[in-house]
Amino acid sequence: MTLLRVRDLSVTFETGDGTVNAVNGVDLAIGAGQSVAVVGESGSGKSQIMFAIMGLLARNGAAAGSVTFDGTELLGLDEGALNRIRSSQIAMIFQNPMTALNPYMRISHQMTEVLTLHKGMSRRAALAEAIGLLDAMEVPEAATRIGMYPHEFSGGMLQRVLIAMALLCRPRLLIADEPTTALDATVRGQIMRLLADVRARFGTTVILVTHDVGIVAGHCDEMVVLYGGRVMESGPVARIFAAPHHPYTRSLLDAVPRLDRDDERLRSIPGDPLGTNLLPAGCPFAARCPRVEERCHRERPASERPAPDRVVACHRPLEGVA
Amino acid sequence: MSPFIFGRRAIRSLSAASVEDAAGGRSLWRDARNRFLRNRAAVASLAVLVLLLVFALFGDLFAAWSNEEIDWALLGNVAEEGAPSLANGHYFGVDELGRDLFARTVQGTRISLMVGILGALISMVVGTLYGAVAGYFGGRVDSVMMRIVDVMMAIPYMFVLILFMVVFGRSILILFVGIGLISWLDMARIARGQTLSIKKREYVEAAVAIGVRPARIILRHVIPNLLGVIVVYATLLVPSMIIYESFISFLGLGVQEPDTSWGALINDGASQMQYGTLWQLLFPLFFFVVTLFALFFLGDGLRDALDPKDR
Amino acid sequence: MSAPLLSVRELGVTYRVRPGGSPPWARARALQAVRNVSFDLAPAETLGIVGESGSGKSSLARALIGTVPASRRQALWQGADLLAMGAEQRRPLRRDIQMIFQNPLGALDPRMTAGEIVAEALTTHERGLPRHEVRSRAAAMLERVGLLPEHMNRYPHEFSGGQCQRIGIARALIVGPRLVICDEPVSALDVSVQAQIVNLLQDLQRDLGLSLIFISHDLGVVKHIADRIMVFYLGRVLEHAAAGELVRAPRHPYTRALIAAAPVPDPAVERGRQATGLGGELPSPLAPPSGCVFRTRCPIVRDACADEVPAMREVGEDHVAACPYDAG
Repeated sequence: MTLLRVRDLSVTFETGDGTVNAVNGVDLAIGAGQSVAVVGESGSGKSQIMFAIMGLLARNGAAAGSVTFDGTELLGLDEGALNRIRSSQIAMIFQNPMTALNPYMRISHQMTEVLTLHKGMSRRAALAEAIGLLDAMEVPEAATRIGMYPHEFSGGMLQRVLIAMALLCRPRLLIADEPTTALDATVRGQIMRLLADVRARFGTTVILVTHDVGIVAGHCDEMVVLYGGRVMESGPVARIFAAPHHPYTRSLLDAVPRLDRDDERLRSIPGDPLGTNLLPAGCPFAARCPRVEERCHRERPASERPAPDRVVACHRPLEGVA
Repeated sequence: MSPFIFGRRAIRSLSAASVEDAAGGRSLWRDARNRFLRNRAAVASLAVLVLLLVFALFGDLFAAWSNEEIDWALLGNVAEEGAPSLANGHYFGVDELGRDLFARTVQGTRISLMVGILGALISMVVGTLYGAVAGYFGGRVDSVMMRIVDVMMAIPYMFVLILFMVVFGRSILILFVGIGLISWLDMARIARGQTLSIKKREYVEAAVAIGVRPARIILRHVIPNLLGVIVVYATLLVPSMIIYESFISFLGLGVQEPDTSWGALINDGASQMQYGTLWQLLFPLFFFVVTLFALFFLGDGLRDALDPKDR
Repeated sequence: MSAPLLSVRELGVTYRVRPGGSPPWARARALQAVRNVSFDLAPAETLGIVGESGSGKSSLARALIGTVPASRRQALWQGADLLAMGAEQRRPLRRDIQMIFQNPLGALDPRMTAGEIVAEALTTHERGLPRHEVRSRAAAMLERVGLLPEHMNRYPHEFSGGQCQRIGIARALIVGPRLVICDEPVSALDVSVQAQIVNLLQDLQRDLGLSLIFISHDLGVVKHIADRIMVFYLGRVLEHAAAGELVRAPRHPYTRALIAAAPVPDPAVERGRQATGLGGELPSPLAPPSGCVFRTRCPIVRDACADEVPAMREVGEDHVAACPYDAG
């Protein structure tokens, strides 16, 4: 069953220097209970897609297309109805856990507020529920630490708090926007395992937005590769890693410095990520692509389905040799 | 600002912007200017201030009477015949001594603007340098320099000023000295605070690592990056200096006859109010209020333009 | 090994900090960011330094370029002690040791053009150079790091992150340094651009015979560029070995954990090793554990670990680790 379906989503921003096209015609279908990675570099539009889904675009931003969550169209929904969905069905956690919490309020207050306001629970019941969730998120001594202020927690611990907060209303979809980027390597793994655990225990669908293909490999089922606000490739993680069809995916995987290999040189992608205000007529990756041909600059490649579970948008896709 | 720049902004589109990029750099100042020009209230305020400056500098040329000349024909019955009139050349009417109020307003505008601009300039130069030096070196230097500021702030300046005037006699020079003494204190604090945060930026560290000398780091890296805040604060300082002077003049301690300022004119006008010569109050007051508003809007516009993050 | 370019002995960096919220009369506490670090760096060699946040790796870099004060013993630069020098004595030597910073945009003055930024480094050390020569040398250096001559007049905010980092590299190299300290030079960049910058640094090092100290939290990148790697944890060096050996045969449990935590872009490998993560959190550097700093998270911890700081132990050829127990 498809929980979230995004069709032809575009996000534009009106700035003093003209219109910025952050997302250009993105299609996504995310099934209930799945764990999907949305992978892209800076400027790929990955975060803006999530903000558009959540109705949290900056004031000068506008979303066009369609986003349906469990059959309800979210774009253009009035603020009240959107708030109801946001508070009970979709939750989001952010890259920097420090800025996502009010530094002047105790964790207990910030966690129970959600429950007392949205669910009408008593303070005592809300507190018990919050402590229970912190426990589940492996925050040690949850009952004492809930009375602390955000700055008394380390980054990794705070991210656990935020995940617990996101789960308070038992959302069906959890969007994690670069949840481990601000964390240390050894803590990163802990948080990723925790997210996997959340999915298993609560049946929550998880969308992981990240620039790090490394963490995708171990923790997600499906992945979507974005570039220049467009979907380059999507499909099951294992199959894409084994045999990427899009030259961009291939380059991205190759560029990761690996401990388990001895390369003389790192394989880089020439050029720079696309500036979002210059939208090329053809494929956004054409300027940096090793397999580019004349047509790529001119014509935007359509999304093809080389296999039932895979999508690729390329004029000269790599053949599926594992 | 000139209509020429307005026109250029109107035709500036995305493609034009990228052509500009290729030709040369788009400095932060230029970005700020573009943002500023988009702010109607600020641009209008700037225009008002330019007109005011023109009025102060060239107003004399349009006056039919000089500021010291007494119109003997009106002297006895200012209340009945001294009202503003184009016919007799007293556009703003006359004051209680029969002097032309238009010419007096030009003169007052000159002095008030001078006080405001001078105060702001002193604070910009002295305050910024002082604060930047204190903030950059930090430690003991900072403590000593800032304690000096604290001590100076603790002195009741009005009292000191009155004392000065008693000792040295009332003169415009003493007024400027008084303003010069206090105007830079706040600015020094602001500049120091900003410097503390700029000092931690990597580009300053990079300059230290390269071996650039402290004096050059302060002048080349710290102060240019302070300027945004400084300029904004200076525009807010101009009105407060004008108010300060007006207050002193209102108390009768400021400029001395036959010199005048907005504060002195408003004071005179207010004291004549009961005789029905309301114009004597309203014309200087109008200039005063309009200038303050224009400066506040300008400061607001500059802040938005120079600090786009805060919006 | 030939005569070392830089030899550091028992270097420490201590900050005085007041915990947030404490009254102004409270005594400042000592935060020992770096403790007792010693190493030699040969000409044209690359030393990699790996550690998580708070491990003191950046403080070490800053102590070496002299923007934070270092304590204890000495850092010999070709025989002259850097730590004993005053600011004026030090200034001409700054030319030899340059630094590349973590935040590509933040390390460039937003009010100066790329050309001015690079030229400033040059004119600081070669006063009285004619303007046209400053310009042409700055342009040549920008070109050397992969930028175009017309980029000279642009301001930092008009460049991408990768390009900003190239400007930072040009600024460091234009004065002809012997040692370049790279503090997390690629961690703020996209993966595809990271590789460009690492490759550029490698080329420049080879062509100019530079020594590099390359600091990163990413063992993958460090292993790629470094000849030797030091592993930092809470201000101490836990292991020091040749890069290949360190990754192939780590001897300290922390190094093993770091290697285990480095993601491998291969689902088959990743799923096979999910259970090997490290628990716990980095302790506060204000109150580090007694004895071995890693003991609170160590999988093979024993009672004796709390008693004394384990000494560096020779565990192989040119390979030392600060753990008396072989994890085997």
